[in-house]
Amino acid sequence: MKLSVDLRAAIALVGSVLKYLTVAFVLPAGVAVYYGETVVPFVTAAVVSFVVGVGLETVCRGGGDLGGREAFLTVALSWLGVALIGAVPFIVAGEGVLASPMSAVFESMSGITTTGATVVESFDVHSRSVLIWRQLIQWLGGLGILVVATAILSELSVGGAQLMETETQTQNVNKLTPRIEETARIIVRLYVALTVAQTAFLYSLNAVGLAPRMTFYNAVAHAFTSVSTSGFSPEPRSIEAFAPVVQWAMIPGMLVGATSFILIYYVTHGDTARLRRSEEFRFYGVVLSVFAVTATALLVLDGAHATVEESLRHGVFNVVSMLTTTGYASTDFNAWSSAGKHLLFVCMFFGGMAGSTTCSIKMVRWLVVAKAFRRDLFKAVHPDAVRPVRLSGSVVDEDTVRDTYAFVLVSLVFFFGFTVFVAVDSARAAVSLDEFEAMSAAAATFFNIGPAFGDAGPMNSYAGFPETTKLGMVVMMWVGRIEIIPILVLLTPTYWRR
Amino acid sequence: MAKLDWRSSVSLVGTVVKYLAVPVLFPLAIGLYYGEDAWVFAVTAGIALVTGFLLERLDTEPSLHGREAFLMVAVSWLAVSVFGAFPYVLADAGAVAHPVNALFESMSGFTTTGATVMEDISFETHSRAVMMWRQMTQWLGGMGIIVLGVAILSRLSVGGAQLMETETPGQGIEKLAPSIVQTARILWGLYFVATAVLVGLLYGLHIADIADGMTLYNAVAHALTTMPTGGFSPEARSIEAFSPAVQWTLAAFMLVAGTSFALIWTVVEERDPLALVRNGEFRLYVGIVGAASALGAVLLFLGAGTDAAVGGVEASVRESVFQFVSTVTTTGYASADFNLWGASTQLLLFASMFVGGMVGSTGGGVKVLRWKVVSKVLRRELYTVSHPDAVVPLRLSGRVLDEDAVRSALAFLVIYFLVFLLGAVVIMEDSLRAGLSLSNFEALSASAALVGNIGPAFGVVGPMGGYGDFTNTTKMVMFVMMWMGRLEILPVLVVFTRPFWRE
Repeated sequence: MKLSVDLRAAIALVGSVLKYLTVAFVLPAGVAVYYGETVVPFVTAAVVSFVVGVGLETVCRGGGDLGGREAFLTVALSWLGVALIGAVPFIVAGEGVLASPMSAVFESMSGITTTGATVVESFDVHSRSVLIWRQLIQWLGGLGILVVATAILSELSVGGAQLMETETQTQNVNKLTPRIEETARIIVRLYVALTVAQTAFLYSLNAVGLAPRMTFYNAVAHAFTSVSTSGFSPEPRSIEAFAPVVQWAMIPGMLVGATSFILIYYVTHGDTARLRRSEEFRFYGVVLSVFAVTATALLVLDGAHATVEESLRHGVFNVVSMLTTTGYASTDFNAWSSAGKHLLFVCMFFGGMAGSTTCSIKMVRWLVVAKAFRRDLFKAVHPDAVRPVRLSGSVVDEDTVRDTYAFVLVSLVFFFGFTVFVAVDSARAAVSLDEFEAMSAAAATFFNIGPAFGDAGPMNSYAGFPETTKLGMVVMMWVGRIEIIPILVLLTPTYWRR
Repeated sequence: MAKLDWRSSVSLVGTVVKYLAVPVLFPLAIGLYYGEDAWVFAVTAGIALVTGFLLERLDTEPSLHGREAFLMVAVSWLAVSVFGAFPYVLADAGAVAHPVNALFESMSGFTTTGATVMEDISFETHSRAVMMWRQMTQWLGGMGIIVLGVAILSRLSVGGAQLMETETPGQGIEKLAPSIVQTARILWGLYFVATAVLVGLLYGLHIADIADGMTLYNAVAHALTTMPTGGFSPEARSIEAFSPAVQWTLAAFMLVAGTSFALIWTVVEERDPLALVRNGEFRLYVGIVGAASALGAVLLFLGAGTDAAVGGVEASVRESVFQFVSTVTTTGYASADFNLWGASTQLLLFASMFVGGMVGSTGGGVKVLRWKVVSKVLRRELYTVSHPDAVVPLRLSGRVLDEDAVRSALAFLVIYFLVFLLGAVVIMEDSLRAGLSLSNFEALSASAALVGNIGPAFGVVGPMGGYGDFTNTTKMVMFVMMWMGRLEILPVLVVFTRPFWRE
């Protein structure tokens, strides 16, 4: 049987990704040297990464160009490979719960998928270098998904990913390599610039004396995980640890991270009119505002917080954090009323714009669903009318509409199925978990958000789940991050055969 | 396009209301027999007759087209629910004496939901006649659904319901009978016979002394709510009140009630039981029920169940099969208080609320056929992703599906989930406003149970509890949710769009 997938090309590219990952270990190693901590974990990981990377490249030399099919495999395997190698420093450092390989892989996958679900229970046993690695891996995950989403997924017409704002429309799907390089260059520059700006902004708050705890270390650490909408924090109390002004200051970072980078690219090049033209951007703004206002109103009514400013701050912050799939918490929202928690739960199903670092279903899909539904209502009255669905002025073809519906449904079905798995598996292992905890934990991992409610709440951790559930979560974070279809397709026989 | 001919629609609603006076005679007879509340039904029948006649006169020669059909269907359920609420208010007993509660109970009946606001379900509070009327509303609702399915939804291209024609086995429902009226009559006949058989069986079990408490009254009452997948019971403990033999019998009949009536007709008429096996939707339906029951039975046996079920094989299997059949078919009976189940089995039950019966049955919810289409779409998607140039039409039972129908089936599912989520939020927030404590899972499950026309959910709204504690505003929202869910959402929503009313 002849494989129809160019395995060599796919795996060689995974090798290159892992080879370049070596460079990333320089930062935590540097931090370790600065604070006088051990560099062994990072040296080990760097060696493993380099050897595996170069090894794969050498073994699979001579592959052809990367085509559509190979892209799925490369993307899926890259995330898996980086997650496994990213776990090496945690295991070698052997501190706290992360010494266990399963927990280390969980933490690493949670990092590279920009989820932010943690198994860390006590933060003070971990060295600063390990904690900065934990932040850095999220930053890398955010960068990775940006490149993959804009350069690859948008071209492959998968689950409505083709709806994304793109800079140019190339028709040649079979020659992805040059396109990846070109897009990557634009995005890396923008992403680094935004991170530096965010670091400088946070640190300047410290410099003027407004944020005593926002040291340079913390500024870098939080810039890494806010632009990538991922949500790890070296502080055990997440963003609650910081002054109100810092909490306000973190919100724009998350909002930018949840905006289409292509759109940001145009705006930074002077084309601000594009913001107004983008229907997805407006929709994102409206949805976000509605949730933020409702949450604030609920908190004020509940009297959960002392002042109106606090209600406003926590309402807006946590809605933004959940909706953009970041997963920071400015307060323990586990203590909110059921109605408040419910609102945050609903936020989990949105996500930011397509072409951003966010996960979940994404605004553009909901927008197309809403538009197509209005059209259907119209057509029910006027069966003979022809009325295409339009997005930002251009017609969305019917196949794309159907793919979008299918994607939303498959996401919801996976979420339900996974909820049942989490509950059944916890029951099997005699871990007590209520229904809503199971639902929220499933949503928070599958949609790459991070904290959920109850035992997996923002100030708690996922350490209490059985090992098998953690493994299930590792898989679901992976599946959710690369938008389901690229992994599902690998499971179909027709993908491998002609 | 011409303007909406609303007189036509309302006139036909008048006809429906007029005929409502006939079934009211049944509880009237029971009232006379037991010497209680008979006048209530006489008054209701009178009001229905007079109103019906008056409305009919709006248009002496009504004719139905697309939009008028939507309006007529949406308004019919509303009107019938209003008239169905009269006996509760007039009888003036218990919680349903309040008009809002009466409307809720009546809508829950006619939509075959089975959610109740009655606090004291016993003959001490409510007369036998009123309790029988409550059962009767579900049976009538089931009749309405049969007509709705064959005559209206399958003809208007909404929510993928037009797929039904493709899936109809054998010669197709078109050829089953030349006209809608005849088709409806055949299916009504089937419905009537099945109900009668069930009455006979249940009462037979009682005579054979293995069904304590299944008196003739109870046999009729439960047959009336099994066939329409309704779920009301005059017993406060629902089906827990009866013996295992009764529970098994009802489980079997619920499974039948969730099957496409046209398919059953083919099996009966052509003596061709293999038609069941050939039908893809039926296979999936039985597969889902089977898989969920099996997993549920194992979990219950291992300890995630009520005391009665833990460790007992027959009890675990029975409790699981009964509950999953009841939930998947959107009936809503309970053979045990599944509120006492563990989180794992409760979540499994919650997930099965989103399955629904087959298209063309009396079941509510999403319906199995749509899930069948979803799985086919996903498989095709995965194929075309690796073969971008391939053109693969979707087939169901050998026939190619229209892509518009496929898209609207998907659209229906997404909208269904949105209505469910939004409903949960509204229930949650409104309860909070009124200072009721309600957990997130209770709110979510209540919403799913109402939109899916199932009835009981978890927690306070569990099988042995009720919806009585909610505020009147929440109850009115729930009233709307049941109405929308039963009519498959679109026919209700479309009435509220501007193009519907304009030329």
